[in-house]
Amino acid sequence: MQNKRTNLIKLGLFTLSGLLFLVLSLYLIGRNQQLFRASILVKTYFRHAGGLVPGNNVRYAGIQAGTVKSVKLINDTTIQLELLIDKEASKHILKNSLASIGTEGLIGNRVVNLVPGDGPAEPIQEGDEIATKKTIDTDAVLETLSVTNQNAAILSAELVQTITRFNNSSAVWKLLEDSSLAVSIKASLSNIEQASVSTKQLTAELNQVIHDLKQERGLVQHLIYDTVMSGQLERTLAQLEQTSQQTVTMTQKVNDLITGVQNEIKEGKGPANAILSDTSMTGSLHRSLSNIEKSTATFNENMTALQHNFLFRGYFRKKEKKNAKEKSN
Amino acid sequence: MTLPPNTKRFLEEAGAIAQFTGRFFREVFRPRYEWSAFIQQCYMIGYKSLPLVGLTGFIMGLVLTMQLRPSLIDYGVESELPAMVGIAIVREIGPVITALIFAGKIGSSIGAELGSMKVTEQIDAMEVSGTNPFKYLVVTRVLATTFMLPILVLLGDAISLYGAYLGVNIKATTSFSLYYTQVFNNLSFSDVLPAFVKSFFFGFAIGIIGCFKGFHSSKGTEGVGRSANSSVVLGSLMVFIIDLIAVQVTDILGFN
Repeated sequence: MQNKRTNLIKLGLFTLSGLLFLVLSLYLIGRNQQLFRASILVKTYFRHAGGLVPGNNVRYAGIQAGTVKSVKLINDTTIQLELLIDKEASKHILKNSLASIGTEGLIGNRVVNLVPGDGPAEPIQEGDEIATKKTIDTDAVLETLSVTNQNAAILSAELVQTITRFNNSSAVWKLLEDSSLAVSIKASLSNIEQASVSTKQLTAELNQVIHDLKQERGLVQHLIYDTVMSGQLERTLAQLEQTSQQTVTMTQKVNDLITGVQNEIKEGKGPANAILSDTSMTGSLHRSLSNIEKSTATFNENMTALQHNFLFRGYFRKKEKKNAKEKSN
Repeated sequence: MTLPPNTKRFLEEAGAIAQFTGRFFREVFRPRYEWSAFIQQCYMIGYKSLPLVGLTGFIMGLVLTMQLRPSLIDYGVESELPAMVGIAIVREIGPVITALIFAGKIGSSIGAELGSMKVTEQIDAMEVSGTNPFKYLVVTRVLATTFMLPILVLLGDAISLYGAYLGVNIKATTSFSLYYTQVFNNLSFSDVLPAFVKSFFFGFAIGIIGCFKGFHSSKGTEGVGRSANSSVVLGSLMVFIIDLIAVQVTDILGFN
């Protein structure tokens, strides 16, 4: 009887441990599929599900946040996904989050990735719709690549043409093989080098000149930088203008005068005519002048005599003394 | 219509087994349940088989892991080793290996036990004394195999997964927590439940065939040996046939 009881206990232990393992594994699997956790349902819409199936994981910022509940085709271009998001995680997922379909690793299962959107927003709630982010679609990449390939084909064909023409053209080869060309190009280059060296020197000198101009108070510096002088210059110019206007007037008058004199000469009138045209007058004038000369000489003699006169001697002596005093001062 | 003798014998036997199974279902629901005999059989069939099943399961898990590793390294998915081994053990290796070991141990013992009772006319004596031998001998054993094999499969799986954990750690270092996370992350109900359900059928088939072979043992010690032998062979074969049917059914039901 005792033995039977022990057997019974052993059997019970055996059976219970087996069932416990079953229950435990079912629980662990169920926990992965969010069956025993509080969660909320949100929806999102895609044009391409990319092989997503119910039970795939939903990740928020790379952390397990829920699972895909269903993948439904609701019209010809739209696929509706229902996502079960953990209640715990949903507190931190905002309404402006973006959903995209990716893979776990390079060849792993499909996952729905949620990434935070820009700016502040409320946390998601039951029945919300999450906007989707367009991801790089492999098909689209391949399509673009196909266009690129076509372009590359056209390009290579044209390149072949160009090279063929290049090969057939003797002129190009002549140009390439001409050694004198190389020499002259070399010479040109050395000339250019020299020119550039001189240009450099010139520039340096010019710099120096400009520097000096700025520093030293020369004429040019005055001309360029002295504002007072420019005012003066302006005034001078204005005066010069005035003067030139007056000169014009004066010239006019002189002109008139000359014209008048000329007319008088022509008509044989006036003193000018008399001076220029009357020969007898010229003779008398000549005589008068010689007489004046003579009389001046006589006058000089008279004056000298006068100086020596006692009446005036005192005056001249005083004058000499005064002059001498001024000089010594 | 004349059939070849072998075919005729085969069909006869198939019909007899079907009849036997029908009789089992008739008897199982009829009152006067042999509870203590059932519990005794459960202890003998279930508990006593655990060391054998545990050892084979442990070795299977360890070996499978070591065998799979080179291929997974070739594909660069060595990190998926726990997932791979977990799915293989839970879906197929665990139930089938356990059922085969079970068929070898229990099928033969039932066949031999009932066969020797048959040849020593104990069964006839039981009938005379008023005990229903079918109920007392067959129903208890078949029920015990049906209910004990799934439990053995579950425990075998657990031990096998632990063996696989050791196997993973021979050439790499994985914490137990990461290991079971990886295993259970990659398992789903559709992996566990069909395997669990089909192990009931394995147990039932092994029990029925063992009892049938023993109950219809031919006279003499030779007959006992033959019935023990054929119950193992046929039981093992039935395990594979049921496995084949089970995978088709789960596929049709969309659990795969």
